[in-house]
This record gives sequence, C-alpha cells and structure tokens, in this order.
Amino acid sequence: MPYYEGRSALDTFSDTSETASAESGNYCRTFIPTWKQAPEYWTGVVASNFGDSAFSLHLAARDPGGEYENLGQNPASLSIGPGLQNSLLGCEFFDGDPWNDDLSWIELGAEGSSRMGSIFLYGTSDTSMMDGAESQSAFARKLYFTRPLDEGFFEGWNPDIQMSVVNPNAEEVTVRCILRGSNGETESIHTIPARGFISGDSNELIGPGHGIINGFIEIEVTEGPGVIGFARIEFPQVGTALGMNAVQASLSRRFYSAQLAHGMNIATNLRLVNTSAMSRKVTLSAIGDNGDDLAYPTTVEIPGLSIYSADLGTVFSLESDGGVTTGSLLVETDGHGIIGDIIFANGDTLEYAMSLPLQDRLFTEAVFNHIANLPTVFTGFAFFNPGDEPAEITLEAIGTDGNIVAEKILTLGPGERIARTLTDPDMWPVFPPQSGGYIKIQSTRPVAGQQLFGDKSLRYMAAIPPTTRLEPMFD
Amino acid sequence: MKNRTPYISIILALMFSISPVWADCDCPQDSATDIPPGEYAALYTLYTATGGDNWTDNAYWLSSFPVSSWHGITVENGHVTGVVLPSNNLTGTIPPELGNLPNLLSLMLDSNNLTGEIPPELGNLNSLLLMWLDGNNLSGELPLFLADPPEYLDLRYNHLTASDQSVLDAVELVHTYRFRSTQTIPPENLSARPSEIDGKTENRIELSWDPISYVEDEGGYQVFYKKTTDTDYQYYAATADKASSSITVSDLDPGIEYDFKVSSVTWAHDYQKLIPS
Repeated sequence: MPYYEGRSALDTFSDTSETASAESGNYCRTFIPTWKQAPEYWTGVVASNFGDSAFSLHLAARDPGGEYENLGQNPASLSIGPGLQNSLLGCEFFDGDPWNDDLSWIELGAEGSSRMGSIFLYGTSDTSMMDGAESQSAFARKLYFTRPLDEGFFEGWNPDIQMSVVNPNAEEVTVRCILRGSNGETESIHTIPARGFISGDSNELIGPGHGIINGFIEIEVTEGPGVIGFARIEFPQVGTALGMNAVQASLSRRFYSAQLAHGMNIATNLRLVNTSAMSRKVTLSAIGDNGDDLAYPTTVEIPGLSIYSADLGTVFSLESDGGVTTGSLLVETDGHGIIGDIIFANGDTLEYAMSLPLQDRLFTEAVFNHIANLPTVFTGFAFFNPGDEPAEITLEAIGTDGNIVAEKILTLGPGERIARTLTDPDMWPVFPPQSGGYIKIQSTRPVAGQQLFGDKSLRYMAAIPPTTRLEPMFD
Repeated sequence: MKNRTPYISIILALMFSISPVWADCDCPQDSATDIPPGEYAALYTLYTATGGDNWTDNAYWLSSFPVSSWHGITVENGHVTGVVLPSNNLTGTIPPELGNLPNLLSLMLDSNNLTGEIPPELGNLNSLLLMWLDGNNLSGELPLFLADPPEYLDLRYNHLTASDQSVLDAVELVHTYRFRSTQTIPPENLSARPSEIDGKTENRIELSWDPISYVEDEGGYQVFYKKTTDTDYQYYAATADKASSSITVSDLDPGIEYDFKVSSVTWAHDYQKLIPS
C-alpha cells in the first residue's frame, strides 16, 4: 500500500482537564546547587527578605549521600528581618572551618514567607576568578547542560567542567544522563540518594572515552520528582570561571539577552541547543541600545537534537571602529524546544568571562539580590525593553539596614537597552560603599535584565539574573 | 448504510486531479449551476465557514465558472462527488450543510486547521466511501453514525473522544487500533497535594494525572494555576513529554488555596498516511 506524507501542521492543544485544588504549605525552600569550599576557594550565599515580615531561615549543607556535612553548626538557622539581606560565606553560615575541603549543596528554607531571594557566588581566595548564579526553587524532570565539553568557545583553554546534579527530595531519584553530539550519543544511568548529588566532568557523568563532539547533556529523571543542576567551569590557565545553572526545556519561542557586545577584544558567544527532535528555524536579531537594528536579522536552521554556536560579532558582521558596539539579542524560533545562553568575555584572553542563560520570561517585578560597591568591586545592571511601548523602571537600592539608600526611575523606549554601574554619573555617583543590601525593581512593562558584579580592574565579572516569582513580589 | 462499491479509481483520480485551466471570461454568476442549489449552498457554506479567502488554493471558488472547475471539487452527473481540500489552510468548523451532498463519495479535509466537532449531519452521506479529517484540531465526541464508518476513514491527530463503545470499536478497527493513541485529549484523574518534607508542608504542590494514550509524537502537558479566589488561570509550565504523569508547582504563596488545570499538547509533526489501493 503506498504512503504519502501527512502533516499535523499546527500544534494541537486539548481542552483542559477537570480542576484539582490544594492548599500550599508554609515552608518555602530554595536550593543552591553547589557549595565548593577549599583553602583556595570560597562560596558566598546571599539571602534577602524583600517581604514585610521577618522569617526564620534554615540552611542545611548536604554531602553526595544526602547526609549533613560535618560542620560546626549544620543545619543552621537565623532570622532575617523585613527588608533585610544576609550575605555570608557558606562556612560562616555553618560555623565551619574555611580551610576544609567540601563539596556539597545547600538547602534554604523559610518559614511562612516566600519573599526570599537568593544567589550564590563562588570564586578563588585571591579573587582572580568569580562567577555565580541564582538559587533554584523549581526542580525538573528534564534538564540540560549546554556546554559540557572542551570545545567551541572553550577550545584551547583547557576548561575544567564540573557538573552537579542534585536531588533535593526526600526520596531517591534515578536519572538518565544522555550526551548527545554531532557524531552520536551515549548515556549512563545514576541513582541519586535522597538529598544527595552526583558531580563530575562528562567522562565521570557519562563514561570515560565517549568521544562525543558538539554535544550537550540531557538529564532525564526516570524515577522521582525531579532534580536541579549546575555547571562549574574553570579555566585554570587563564584564571577565570563560569557558573551556569542547568536549564529546563523551554516552550517559549522568544528569548532575550540584555547583553551583546563586540569590539575592543570583547566577544559575545551564543550557544543554542535544539532539544526537540524536529528541525527549528531560529532568527537572531541584534538590537542597538537605542532600539534600532544593529544589523539585518539572521536565520539559521538547527537540526533536531543539535547545537548552534557562534560569535555574535561575526554573525552580525558588527564593526567596532575601535570602540565597543553594545546592544541586546532577540532570538525567535518557529517551534518549541530551543534553549541557550551567552558567554561574554575578552575573546583573546577569556578574562572576565561571564555567562547568562537566555531569558524566556520577562518580568515587571524583580530583585537584584546583592549590592557590592567597594573600592575594588562594582555592581552594575542591564535592562532591555523588547516591547512596543515604553517601560518605566523604578529601582530602589536597599541598604544593609533595610532602608532605601537610592532611588531612580529609568525610561526605556521600545527596543531600548540600558547598562550602567551604580555609580555612573547618571545613576548614583555618590552611592554609599556597602557589601550587602539589594535592589528592588518594578517596571510598567515587561523587560529582560540582569545584574553584574565585577572587579574594577576587570579581572573577573559575574552576571546573575534577578529573582522573580510567579506571584506578586511586593506588597 | 454505505454503498461500498470500490470506487478506487475515482478516489485516486480525486487525489491527483488537476484543476482545469479556463480562459478568462465574463461568465454570469448564475452559470455556476451545474449542481443543485442545495449542494451549491453546502459548498458556499464550507467556503465561508473555513476562511475560503485565506485558503492556500481557492481557484474558481464562488466564481461563475462551473462548480466542477473549483479547486478540489469533483462533479459527476450533476452532483458533487468529491471535496478534496487537504493541506489547504481551511480554518474554522466543518459546516453541517456538507450533509446535503447526497452523492458525495470522498471528503478529504485532512491537514488543515479545522476545529469543533464532526457534525452528525455527515451521517446523511449515504454514498460516502472515504472521509479523511486527520491532522486537524477537531474535538468532542465522535458522532454515532461512525459506528458504521466509511470504508476509508482517517481521524488521527485530532483531539476527539469516543465514549460510545460501538463507535470506538468501529473506528479503532478502521484505524488498526490507532484512533485513541493519536488523539490529544485532556489527561484524566488530575490530583493535587502539597509536598511534605520532614513533616513540613511546602509552598509547592505536586500534581499528578493519568497520561494520555498518545505519547508517540513530541508534546507535553501544560499546567495552569490560579488562586481559588481569582478568576483567570495563569500558565505555569509544561512537561517535557506526554509520558509524564506529574509536575511540581513551586514558588507559590504560602498557605493559599490554589486551583490547577492541565491540558495536553502535541507539537506540529509529519506522519505517514496510507493511500488505499
């Protein structure tokens, strides 16, 4: 019997199910997927209370088997008052010995309040390298590591890529770790104890000598509620580091980055993963700070279960004319399943490398969880308004005592972007020195954005997305 | 009920028919009277109900040319015998007036964006030999006339249900048991409970359901939530595949009653169709 090709040309959505209801409990947990401590390493943990009432914060550091790490005070508890923030080294929270070697993960739990934001920063004791990420509140049954191999943008820099998969649940989970590449795929199965984790490079997670190139790793939970993940990528010969949360598959068809730069050795590397088995057409648009296109949009086709990696300066043929071209990136796809991130660094030396996931959800309320404004360290931010109407963004910088220390309203026209440090002349040039506090953000229109930390000599920089929530953040 | 004369040659001719090319002329509107008025009205309704102006190919439709020249229409002995408009961007509902085509042998509307139910009036098509409605967004209960289905029936890749056992048995038989396993229908037995850890009830709620039979092509379950006191549901997230039977909704306000709904989705995809011979 002959065949011909039929096509279900549009996505098919069913009606919804019957309703189910439940009352949420009062214990609010979030997870820091990696805490690395050693004589030459530190990990800092930030927890902010942007609500109107105090809460008790409980912290527990767990080892690979899910047991409490042997520390001075583990689990630990403290109270965080309304509007306050607490930022300490992990060992300070737990009264541990900063000279011990520990690799664990941290669970943060708040009684009665979900108005908690948290990030973590890790680096070396000589602060030659630093990066960080936001804590994770949601676990997933499918996660992806987008840059698990020494290739592409990393090639020649001999990175040490350590990936952690954490089970924050009170029951064990089983995961399939699949390394998919242009020359095949291979997989391994792991059982992770309740509240335990596995960690290692691709050879340790997947199996030695896999030989896969142009790859990404898919973590599929086959038994259990879900996992979180984090990749710690260090370049010892350069002295720089990247921290990247593992990302969930996305159904979005538009992604944003408020960070695109080219010129004066600055490179922006984009990596997209098509997690779908179907081929996807992806259109990349570079938009200048003033909202005008920097170049003609480019469309690429990414085969199913494949990656696309490119230098955005090359993709858009950006001319630097001795200066730096800056703007935003818009990624649009013709189907679901695209995820991705960018790395921003000195393309010649990899100095000040920082990574950011592409954002698929814009926000109108958010918190930048930490302010570091010191003689050697700056804090900055970037916002991108991808909408058709102007966005009025109100920033409130909160001091270490919980009071507002500075306020500013920024207006971004359609497509416009702004990137500033806190002490720029048109921001707060006399911003008080502080290490602590946070920034509340409220925008009249949905925007993308992230905060930056950096060493003023540009040895390191860290880019961290803000804390956002499902529900309204501010009373 | 059906006249099962093997009209295979007719079917094949319909499938591969080429619209005749007509020279421009100023034919009067009423020249399109090569079929009875009721049949003309049925085709007119099909055109208007499914966005005919936006069809990929609507050549000669509603023009003064003979109906037999309209794209996808076959007329024999003064009656419409074929409506063949697959992959033609038909968007809307199938009009019940199609049941007024008494000599219709072949109804091919597959791979379009048709929504709504299959009208029971199609049961009036006593001559119907072939009905292909696959690859649309049709929903609801299968009409009872499908307990005695056309010889060639394809209803795959919609979100149709069949609670009448005789209808279900009949269409499963025609589809070689691939009716239910190709329908994107809502999951059943949705339940919700807050997750507990160390005796503490969390601000995250675990949802679970029975996955649908159709897990073959890419898709998932979309989860929507709202506070019970609110009116509108918000999108939360989707599972990575249709085999999933649970998700944990995190980041909720503590101590609040929430409502949840779940829908299934199958992403656009290609599939193989069998051509009867």
